[in-house]
Amino acid sequence: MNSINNYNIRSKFLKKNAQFAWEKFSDFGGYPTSSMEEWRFSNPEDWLLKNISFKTKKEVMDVETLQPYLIPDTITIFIANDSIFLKDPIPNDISILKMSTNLKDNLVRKSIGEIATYHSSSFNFENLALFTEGLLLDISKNFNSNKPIHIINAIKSDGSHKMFPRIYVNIGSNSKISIIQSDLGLDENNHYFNAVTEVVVNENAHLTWTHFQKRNLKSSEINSFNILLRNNSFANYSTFEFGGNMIRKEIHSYLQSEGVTFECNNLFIPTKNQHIDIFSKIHHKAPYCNSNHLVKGILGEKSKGVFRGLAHIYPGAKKTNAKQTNNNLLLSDKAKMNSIPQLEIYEEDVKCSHGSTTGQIEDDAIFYLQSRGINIEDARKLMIQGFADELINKVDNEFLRKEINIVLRKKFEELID
Amino acid sequence: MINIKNLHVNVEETKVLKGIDLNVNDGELHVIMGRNGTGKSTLANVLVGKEKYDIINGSINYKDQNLIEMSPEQRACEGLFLSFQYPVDIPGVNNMYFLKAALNSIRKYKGEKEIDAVDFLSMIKDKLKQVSFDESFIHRPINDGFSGGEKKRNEILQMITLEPSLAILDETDSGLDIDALKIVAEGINSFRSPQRSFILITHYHRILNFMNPDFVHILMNGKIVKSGDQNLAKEVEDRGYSWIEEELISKIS
Repeated sequence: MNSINNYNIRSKFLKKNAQFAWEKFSDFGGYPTSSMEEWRFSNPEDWLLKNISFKTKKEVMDVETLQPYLIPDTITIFIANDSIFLKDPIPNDISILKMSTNLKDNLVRKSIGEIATYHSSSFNFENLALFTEGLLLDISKNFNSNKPIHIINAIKSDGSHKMFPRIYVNIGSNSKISIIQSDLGLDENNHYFNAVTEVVVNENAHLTWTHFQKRNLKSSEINSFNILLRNNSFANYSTFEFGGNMIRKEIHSYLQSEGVTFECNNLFIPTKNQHIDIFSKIHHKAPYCNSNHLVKGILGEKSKGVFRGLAHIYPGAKKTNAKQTNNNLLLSDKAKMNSIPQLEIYEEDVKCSHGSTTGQIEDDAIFYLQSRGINIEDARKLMIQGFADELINKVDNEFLRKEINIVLRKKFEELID
Repeated sequence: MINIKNLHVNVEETKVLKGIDLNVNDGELHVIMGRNGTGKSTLANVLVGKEKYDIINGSINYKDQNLIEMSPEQRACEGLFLSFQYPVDIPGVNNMYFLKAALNSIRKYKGEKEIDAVDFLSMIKDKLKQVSFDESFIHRPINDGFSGGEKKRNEILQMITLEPSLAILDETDSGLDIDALKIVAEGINSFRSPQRSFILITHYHRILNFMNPDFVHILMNGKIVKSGDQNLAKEVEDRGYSWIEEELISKIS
């Protein structure tokens, strides 16, 4: 195991933190292996075997490069090549801290690793040990913003790198906020990302977080989203996975106290040799909470998809209402999907359901469209679009919705062979 | 409009149609009646080009072209329309999006300008009224969660929007209550013109109370065994089919 000292850690605080994390990581046996149930269909080695150097030097990215990815009427925050900078004025109710420089801040000290623990994934500790920059957003109480925050997380480099993006967001009670995250790969290099996001949604707060992932097709990413919801709060987390070579999206949600609603939607559309794994654990820890999880995959060519979702209902979480659905469209004989929806229920007074379907486009539906004058190719496109629309149409931001549709339509040729 | 000659069709090696002869001229409304399993729906499906039907013998001439060689979408673009007996549900695909796409591919085929969303919406409003749908129907997924009657009305909506030259209505009247039946019949009646023809497949005489067919044909054992006018339909309604069978037997002997 490499010592942490081999890496260029800049601050004493981070160094101490990192050393601790690295020791923990080693103590717990390091990286997971495919013999572990949770990694049965996605071999961690496929992420790790890449011979990529740790990113040591900062490459400055030109803001012009990011211009095409801006969304109008949003507050843009760039995380470009691991450097955080702002484009727009920030309302007083939002404070933005850089983990690298605002180390004395109490929130930074207490927040890092608060929700994403070793228990959710050992990859979380790799990030904790090796990250060099992180974004911390603290949104004050009673703040209601109609302008979404847009986090553009992009890489563009001459070489291949290991990157450890880290985001922490605290949403004050009674606040309402919408966050859009675009993860972009703007070069053709082979990168490894291990990203950790931690979110706390406080009492009565309302969060909508839409994650649009379009890394380049060589990159691998473990992306872990960890969210804790307090009394009567609401969160919708929607992800759209288009890019990447090996993608593991982990969602760990903690419905910590009464009256929480958590909605989660994931659309993933792998083609070529892409492998996209959606992994979710919903922890129902308190009574009167709802969770609704809808995962849809559209798989073309030789791609692989995995969904493993667990709804864990703890003792005492009475009147829980948990619903989990996974529907997949398999558009090629060579594409493969593994779906494992799971329920663990330790409370009697609950309503839980889960279901999974994987199928092809029905011939009868195609014929029906043909019989109305639509050619077979357009009929297939209509069916694919219709399948995806259930999730795309839930995206509030019209600009982003269009962007998602453009990326989907670019994939049509790979989906209808 | 369409001329079917000596049509023999097999479904998985079983002979279903055994020599159909049918000629439909412009503006005519033909009714085909018959018991279950006599081949009525097979005939409808063969005409719109559904796979798994093997045409063993015969010819279908549609607007001076060989219909058998056309793809299903080409047939639709050439003005052939089938109102399905069991329209499929397509969750996800929105009715409006679908109908606009269908209309535009037909317009494109004819060399006409495609219609934009605004013009389409104002055009479809009238059509929705004709089938007594409120506007929300156009924004719902195709037939998803529709009742039986709503599905049939949706077929009629598609018909009056796509404006075919030959409409085949496969038991569009089955399972409808009297109000829905009137809506469907009025939809068809208002759509009749000297250039437009219809083939109406039905079990029941009651829809014929609302319209005036030019010919009524009885299909039995894969063949048209008797043709007549509206009175024939009335007679079948009153007496069933067995007298026709007896008539046939006595003819043979």
